[in-house]
Amino acid sequence: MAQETRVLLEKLGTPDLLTVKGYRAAGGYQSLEKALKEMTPERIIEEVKKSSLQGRGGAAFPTGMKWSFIPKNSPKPVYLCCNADESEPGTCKDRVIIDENPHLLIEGMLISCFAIGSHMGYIYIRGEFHRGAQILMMAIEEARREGLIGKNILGSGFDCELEVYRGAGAYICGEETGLLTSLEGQKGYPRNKPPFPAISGLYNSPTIINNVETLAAVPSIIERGGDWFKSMGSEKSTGTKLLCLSGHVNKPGVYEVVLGQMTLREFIMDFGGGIPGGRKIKGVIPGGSSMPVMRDEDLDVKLTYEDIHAAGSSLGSGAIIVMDETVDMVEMCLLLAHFYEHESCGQCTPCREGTRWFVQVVDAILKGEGHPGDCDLLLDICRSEFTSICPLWVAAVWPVRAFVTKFREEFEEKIRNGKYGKKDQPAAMAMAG
Amino acid sequence: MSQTDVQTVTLTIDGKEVTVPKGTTLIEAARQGGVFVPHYCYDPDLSIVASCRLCLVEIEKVPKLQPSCSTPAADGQVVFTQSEKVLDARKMQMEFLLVQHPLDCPVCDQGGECKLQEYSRNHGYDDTRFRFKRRTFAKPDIGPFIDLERNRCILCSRCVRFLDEKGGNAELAVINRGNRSFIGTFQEKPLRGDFTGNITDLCPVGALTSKVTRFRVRVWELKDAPSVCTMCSVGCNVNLQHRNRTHEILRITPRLNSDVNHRWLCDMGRFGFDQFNSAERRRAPEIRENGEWRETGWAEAIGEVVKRLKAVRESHGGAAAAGLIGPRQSNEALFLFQQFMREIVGTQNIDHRTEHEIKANDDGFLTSLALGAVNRPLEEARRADVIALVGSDLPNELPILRLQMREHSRAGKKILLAYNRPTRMDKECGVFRYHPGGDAAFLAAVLHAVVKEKGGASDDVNALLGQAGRDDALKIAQIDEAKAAGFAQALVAAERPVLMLGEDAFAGPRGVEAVRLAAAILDTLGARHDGALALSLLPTPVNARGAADVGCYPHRGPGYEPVGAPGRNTTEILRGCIDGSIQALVLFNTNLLEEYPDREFAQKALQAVPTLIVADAFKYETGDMAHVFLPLSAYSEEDGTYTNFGGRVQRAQRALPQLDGTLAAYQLLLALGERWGAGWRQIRTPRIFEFIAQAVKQYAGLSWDTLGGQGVTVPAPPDEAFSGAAPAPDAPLASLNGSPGGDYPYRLVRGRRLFDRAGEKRFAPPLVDRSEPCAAEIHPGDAKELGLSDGDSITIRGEKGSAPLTVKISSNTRPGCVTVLGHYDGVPLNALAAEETPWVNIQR
Repeated sequence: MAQETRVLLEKLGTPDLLTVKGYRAAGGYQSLEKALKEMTPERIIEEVKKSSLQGRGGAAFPTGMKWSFIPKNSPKPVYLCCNADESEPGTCKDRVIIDENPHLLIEGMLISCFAIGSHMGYIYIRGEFHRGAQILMMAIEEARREGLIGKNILGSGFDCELEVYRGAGAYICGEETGLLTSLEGQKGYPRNKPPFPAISGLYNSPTIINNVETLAAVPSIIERGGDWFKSMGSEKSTGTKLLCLSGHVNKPGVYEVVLGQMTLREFIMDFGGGIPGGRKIKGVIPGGSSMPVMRDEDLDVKLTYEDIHAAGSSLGSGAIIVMDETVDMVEMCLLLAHFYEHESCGQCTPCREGTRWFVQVVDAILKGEGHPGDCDLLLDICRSEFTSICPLWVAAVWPVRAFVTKFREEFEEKIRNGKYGKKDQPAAMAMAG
Repeated sequence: MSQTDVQTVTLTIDGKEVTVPKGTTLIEAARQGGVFVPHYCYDPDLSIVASCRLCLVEIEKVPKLQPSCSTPAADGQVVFTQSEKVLDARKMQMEFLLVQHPLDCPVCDQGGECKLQEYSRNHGYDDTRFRFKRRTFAKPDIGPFIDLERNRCILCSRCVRFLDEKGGNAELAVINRGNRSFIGTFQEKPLRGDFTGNITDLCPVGALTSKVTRFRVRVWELKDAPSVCTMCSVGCNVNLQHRNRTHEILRITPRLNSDVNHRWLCDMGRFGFDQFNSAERRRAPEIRENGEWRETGWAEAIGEVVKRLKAVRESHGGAAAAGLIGPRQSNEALFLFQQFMREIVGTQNIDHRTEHEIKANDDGFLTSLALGAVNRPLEEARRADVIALVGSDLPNELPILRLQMREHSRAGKKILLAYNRPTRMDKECGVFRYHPGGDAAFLAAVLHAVVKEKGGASDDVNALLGQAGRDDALKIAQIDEAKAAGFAQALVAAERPVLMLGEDAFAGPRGVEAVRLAAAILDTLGARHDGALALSLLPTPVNARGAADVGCYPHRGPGYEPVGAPGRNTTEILRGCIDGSIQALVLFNTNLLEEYPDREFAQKALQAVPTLIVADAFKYETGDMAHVFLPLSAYSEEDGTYTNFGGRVQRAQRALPQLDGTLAAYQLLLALGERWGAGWRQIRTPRIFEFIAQAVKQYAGLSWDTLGGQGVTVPAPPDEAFSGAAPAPDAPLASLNGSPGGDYPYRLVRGRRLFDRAGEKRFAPPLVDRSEPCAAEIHPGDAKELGLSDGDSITIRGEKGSAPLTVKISSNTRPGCVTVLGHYDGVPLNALAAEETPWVNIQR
């Protein structure tokens, strides 16, 4: 039976972990000291590159490479933004770090700031994480008092400030450029790329945006080395990954595992303790609600980024949502379509109009008002996936396409049994303005 | 920047090689290569958002389609705008844009010039796959000019960006999120900006249309007449869009001229066209006999005018006749007017300055010419790094210049604004405030500071400083020495400063002094370029410059040539009417009773003169006092040229035939000359312009044809026209601006307002709707003392009369002042006190 391997969650349960003292007693802030006193920024980036750490927000972009995009000797200030706007449905890993071990994130951010030459780090935290924001603010306050934040950190001569900025509850502000416009005090509209944030991000200055989990992995890489980190997991999926297991399992929760040690099904069964009532699995979304759903027969795939990708989906943020045989896949599709319709910023055409059209079509099918050909219509709308400014439209397209493709018979059945399903009634008659 | 510094990139667009400057976007590079990429949100004058996704193009080796509006062209790029992938994506975007769009084209004013219609036809599907209920939004009322129909909006946000980036007040925003997004104002309040009409041009669909034109015409019925706007002296290039069938001007749109207004217009110029369609316009000449008006034909009316003028000439000599013409007529009318008065009637009693008491024939404007001022505000502002404005409420006087000032300010130029009250452009400027009437004093204080900074000045400047003592100047202007020094330091630090004087400064009682002080400041700074002093005056009437150029002065003829024995100016003519030395007065296009600063004096004069001939489009109260009233056609009905405040001569082509029963001013003058027996005959505008080009030296070589569609800027008049130095100020600064006291403790300050009921604006209902109610602004301290609160009815009384007004308490007005903005019919503020002694009291 597969086991957890705790690195990020290692210290959980040690007393007074929310305080500097408690965190230090558990071995915290030693990586920071090492980074500031024994390493150069170049060495740190080198070490992170060596670890093959990939961004944990969902896109899995190599972190060390991202950091190296920051222009050398930029006349503008460099910013680090921690993306703590954890709002992808199914994802609940960052809050564990924030709520239980805030100093790990702070330590990771300070090391990262030092590495990229930034003296200002922002933590953009989703509005609903009220408690998390308070914990972070208190932790930052205490760290500042202890000389870990501010001028001349630990006597190293390095200055760095951290600040918590609370969002107002918009999914779009978790998109990195939407996050930046929101952080600047504007409406959270994503920006066109290029220019990429590393060149022109917050206040048009070089900016790195990293996920909470990514930054929290940095101290262990500094402490034990990139090679150690890389020694865990598969060739491409190194280190440990927090997985959020939810849906129809007996033991939902956040588990830290080494990727590649088990299959997706083993993970669900071993960690989740099986399906309630011993029912059968119908489908699994392996990486947060925007990733394509997988059918039961596809679950014997190795749990790594690359293997799940090869199976036509993605590990994304590591949120695994399990649906058993009682789930109506049309209804599930509508639920997700509705989420993206509600969360689209409305700036660019395909997402603003397409998300609502999805909802209308799927809703019609669910209500028995679907037309023959609606499945093809949905798939045709999906063709515009890469024409939007930001990936939210892609995130809306993928689940719809996957549900319609993988469970098409459920959709077609509802259409057949619906108002316009009879062959003698041409669909065109139902056209309305 | 030299030619070699410009880096270029060469790329291939649809198989065609295009070389463009580095930084050019693909959409512009394509345009230069003759390829049009359809787009909605992109506009070359606004920031780029790339949100409509219609302009996506394929770039070789780039996996995803890229928006051409935001992607910079790169060397060696291979771009396809017509590939299958691109056309397919374009079709998809068109379908998305149309899923929620109502199919109400038959009742939509945009129909016929709608980009949704055009692109649907060219790039879209011919049917829809959308079968659900479309989203709908509430319809707000956003003011008298603009109709907002949110259901038609495609959220391109051009309007939002224009009002934020150009218009100056970010009044519109995208409210809400996602599919529920809509365009709106804060709390659905009406738009209050000065340039809101431009968003109807920018809106690619029917979401923002002109409420004034709405439902009156289909756009394909409209014809364009290239013209210039006559609402102020910027001379914005416009199209008069008209429908002959109903003899109406139905829309005014900007005509691109990047030297003047670019592609923007202010709301006053855009929405005032109903004055031309007004039923109040007179359609037949009228003769008043024994106090009774009688309509008549043109033959009789012209005969009557000639008979009366000839009689005066025979019995009293030509010098007993006089003529005043408003500076709103075309160059042709102004030129013929002075020709008619001089050559035929035989008098030099001619003037166009009807809005001020004239103290010296060589006024502030002529003084500026004599001192070598460049007088090209638009160009000078573009070249300068520091722009100093004194005595001008620019947003209310010359809106488009204000818009450009905002652009200059955003481009990093420094703008200094000295005025007697807050203006709507204060945010963009370094603000300096002085006491009303203290324009010249402020300039004197600045001159002292500049001389101090520079450590000395020429003898002429020192002589001037002797007459305008520093302490007097500071006291009259009521400013700190440090503040004046700040203004001076900014000028001294400038590489290329330019100084601009508003009408308050150069046309008021101390106008000549103000101009001389301003010139002295620039002289001391050494701010001369190609010999011209970096000084520009900002007159507001549309053809003030033209009237001056063609010689509507008592002492200067066409081209500023001095005449032998000078005639009488406006003030002297009115005095002559009262004392009997003027027997006949001809008024063209001037409502003198409203315009002249001393109504009682003007009224006396008009009552006394035995022959009063008034020619105008509307009759006004001045026309009511005439013996013969001659209805003129509107400028939209005749060809003419106008010279803007920077000396740019521009053509205004006629849009409609003349309203039945009216004559163009120039036709009327030619007819008078013909009937007189002077050998004049009817000729057309281009021929008259030839005469102007012969008579006015600076216009030499110009013709109707060479003016073209964009106009030509004429040089400054030659120095020999102003032989000898400019006149010395006739009195020290301290001799004027005595303080109020006794029965009249308050100073009446009159300011301008873009939307009021002045002149012909009252005949354009949308402008009247937009105008704010006339009110007397009183400082909170004064109001407290007098026990007044907002909305109280009061009477403002001066030496000569009184006017009823409503109180508006505002700290924009200085203590001891009563400010009334705008001109309103029925509120005769010029009847209270003389221009130089504006003292009044306030009674409940």
